[in-house]
Amino acid sequence: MSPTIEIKIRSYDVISASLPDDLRLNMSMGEPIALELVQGSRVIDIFKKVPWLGRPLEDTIVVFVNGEAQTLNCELKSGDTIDLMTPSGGG
Amino acid sequence: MKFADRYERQIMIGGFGEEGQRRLANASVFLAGAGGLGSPAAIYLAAAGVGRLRIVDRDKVELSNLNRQILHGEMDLGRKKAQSAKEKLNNLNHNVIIEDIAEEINEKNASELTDGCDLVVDALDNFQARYLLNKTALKKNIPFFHGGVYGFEGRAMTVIPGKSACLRCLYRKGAEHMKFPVIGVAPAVIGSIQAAEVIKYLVGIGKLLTDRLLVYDGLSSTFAEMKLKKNPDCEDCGLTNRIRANQ
Ligand SMILES: [Zn+2]
Repeated sequence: MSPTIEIKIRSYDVISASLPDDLRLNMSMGEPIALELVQGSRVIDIFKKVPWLGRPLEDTIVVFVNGEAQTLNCELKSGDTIDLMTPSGGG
Repeated sequence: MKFADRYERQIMIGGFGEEGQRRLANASVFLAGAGGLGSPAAIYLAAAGVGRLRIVDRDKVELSNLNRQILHGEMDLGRKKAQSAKEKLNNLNHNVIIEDIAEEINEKNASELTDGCDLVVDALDNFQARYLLNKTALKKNIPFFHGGVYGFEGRAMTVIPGKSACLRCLYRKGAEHMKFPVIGVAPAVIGSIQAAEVIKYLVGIGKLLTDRLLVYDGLSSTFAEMKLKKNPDCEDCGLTNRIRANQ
């Protein structure tokens, strides 16, 4: 078995709206989603593992790793917190 | 009504003083949108005593606006939002010169509409016009105060041209304009933060939301802060594009 890393994900806006009910409830209580990935995974791999986290939105998605703007190619390490959002244009 | 009496409580704030109040009084603010974000932003800017407020909104008041657009009431249904806003703000503070413009912001008029303004408040509801004003503000070298909401969430950031990340650095591509879910308290929080940023900028106190995206999540009652960087290849503020624009 290949070594794994554990990361945490917080999502916002339409991404949160498309989460399964239990995860959305979790998130609205301030609890991020925990996710296990193979070591060496990049942000893009999150969407391969959990497509409902925004695969259809990949061209507008904005990614922050530990609070800093990153690209989909950013390599992840254990303990990272990833914030996923899309442009919020409401006013 | 005396100037110093009316603003006594804010003049008392450290670093604000009568000089800060004069700076507000001498300022011209461009407010794009008199809706969910624009309502609280305009109310607090007028209450604080900015000199001039140019409000641009193409829309008329609809019933479904009233859960959040607190400048408008039932008696305003069908009226132009810019005009309805002006009336309420005049009642709040007659010293503020308010210009109401019921026009759509587009490529042709964006530069002229913002002429004479010291800054732009982005309280719009669509990315097309947001990007256009972001670019206009960059070109005119005036700050741009962004706010956006969705559901119980909201975000705000401040752009100082040439110094900090712009709206296009944050979002390379905007979402399509569509009907979005929203509860009034979300734009109330974000519009107030935009007003606070404008006041701080004009008075010259505090630390602005530059290269930082403030993210409010009303459901978990949390604020998060994301660090941003100016994108050197940004379509709107990147170096190569600025050189090209100047040629
Ligand atoms: Zn930029």
